[in-house]
Amino acid sequence: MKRSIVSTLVAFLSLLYSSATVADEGKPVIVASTTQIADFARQVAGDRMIVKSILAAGADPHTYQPTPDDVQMVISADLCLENGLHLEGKNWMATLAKDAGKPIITTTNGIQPLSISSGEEKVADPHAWFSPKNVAVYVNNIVKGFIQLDPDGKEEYEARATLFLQQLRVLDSWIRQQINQIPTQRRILVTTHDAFNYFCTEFKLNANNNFLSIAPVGWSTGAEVGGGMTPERRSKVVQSIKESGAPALFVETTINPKQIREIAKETGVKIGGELYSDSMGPEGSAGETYIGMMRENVILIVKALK
Amino acid sequence: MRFFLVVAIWVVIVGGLWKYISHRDAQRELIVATTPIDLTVEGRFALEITPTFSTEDDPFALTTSENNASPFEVKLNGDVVDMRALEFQRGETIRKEKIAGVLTGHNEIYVNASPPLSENTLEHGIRVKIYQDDTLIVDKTVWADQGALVSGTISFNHSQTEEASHDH
Repeated sequence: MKRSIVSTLVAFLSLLYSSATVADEGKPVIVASTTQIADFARQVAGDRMIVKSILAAGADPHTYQPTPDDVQMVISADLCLENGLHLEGKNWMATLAKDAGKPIITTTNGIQPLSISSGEEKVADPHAWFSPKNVAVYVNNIVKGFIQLDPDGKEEYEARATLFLQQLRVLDSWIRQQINQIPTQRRILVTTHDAFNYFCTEFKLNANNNFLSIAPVGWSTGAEVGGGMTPERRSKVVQSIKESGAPALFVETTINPKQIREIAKETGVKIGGELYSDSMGPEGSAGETYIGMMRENVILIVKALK
Repeated sequence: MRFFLVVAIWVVIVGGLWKYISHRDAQRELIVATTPIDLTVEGRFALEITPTFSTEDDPFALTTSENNASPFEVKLNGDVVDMRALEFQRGETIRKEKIAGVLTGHNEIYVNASPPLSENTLEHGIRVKIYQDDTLIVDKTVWADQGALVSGTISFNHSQTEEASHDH
C-alpha cells in the first residue's frame, strides 16, 4: 500500500515536471552575469524567454569564480549578457561565453563611463547601474539584442521596455526628491567600496570629493589594478570622515562589513545600515528587483543622513 | 510491476486529458467579423498644442527605432500626427492644420511627451485644442506628476448634428 502511494506520488511529480518543461520548451534562454542585468532582461523578456543569472543574490562579481554549473548554464544559452567595464573580475562572463561559442552583449555599451583614479592609473568605473539614466542604456542594449535574437517578439519587447523605462524615469525623479531632504552639508556617503560614484555624481552627494564615492576599498573588491584596500586609502577615508563630519557610514550586502565597522569605531560615526551594491537582494526581499534595491538604498541613506 | 502500472495509468489519464484539452482549444479559433465602416468626418480640422515645458531628448526613451525616440508624440484615433519637424517651447502654441481622421462618435487624442529632467520638481501639462473650421470643439489639458512623462488620452464625441452644422 505504502509502495503504491509512493509510486503514485513519483509519477505525479514526474508529470508535473514534464509539463513544466513542455511549457518552457522552445523559449530562448538568456544568461546574465549579474542579478541586476537579469532583472533588466526579465523586465523586457516577460515570459517569452527564460532568463537566468550566474551570480546569486549577495554574490560579489569582482571576485566570483565560475563553477562547472555556470559552464553548463552558458552552454544552454542562446544569448549571454554581461555588464562589462571589468565588473566581472578577469572578464569571467566574456570568457565563459567565448568558450561556449555563444553571442554576448555588453550592456554598458554606449554609456560614458566615469573615469576614476587608481594610483597612477585611470580606470572606467563599472558600477554604471547606480544611475537610472545609465540603466536606460542597459535596457536599450538588451532590447536590441532580444529583437535580433527573436524578431517576432519585437513589439512585445518594446512594449515592456517602454513601461520599464518610464518606471526608471519616475525612480530617477523620486530619488532626487528624496535626496533633496538631506541638508547639502550632510550629503556625505561613505560606503565599503567605490561602488557609488555614479550615484554620487547623479544625485550630488560627496561634494567635497568631486561628487565621487568615499570608501576604504577601491572600485573592485578583487585583485585587479585599483582593487582592494590600501593603508593610504584607509587613512584618507578616516581623515575625510573626520573632516567632513559624515553623519553615518554604510556597509554593503556583498562585502564583509569588518573594515567599515572598524572605521566607524575609530571615527565614532554610526553605521547607517546595509546598502545593496554589486548584487540585488534575495528572492522575497525588498531588494529583489532593481527598483526595489534603489528604493531601499535611498530610504536608508536619507534616514541616516538627514 | 505495480509501480509501472501506476505510472502507466497516470500517463494514460493525464495524457488523454491533455490531448483532449489541446484538441478542443485548437478548434476554438477566434472568428472576428470585420466590416469596415467609414466614419470619417468631412471638414477642416486643426490641432493646437501648448506645452508648459520645452522638449528635449529623453534619456529614458526607447531607442530601437527613430520613431519611438521622438520626445513628443501625438496620435488621433491611433494614427500618428506627425510632429517631428516641430519644436516645442514652453508656453508656445503649435498649430497643425489639415488634421485627418476625426470620426463620427467617439474620438481619442493621445499625447505623450517628456519634460526636461531638470524640471522634475514641477508638474507639467499639455493643453490640446481641436478646431473644426474655426470653431473650437475640444479644449482639454493633460497633466503629469512631478518627473513623469506627460502622457494621457483625451476623449471627445463628434456627433452627426455637430458635423451637419459645419457642413455649410
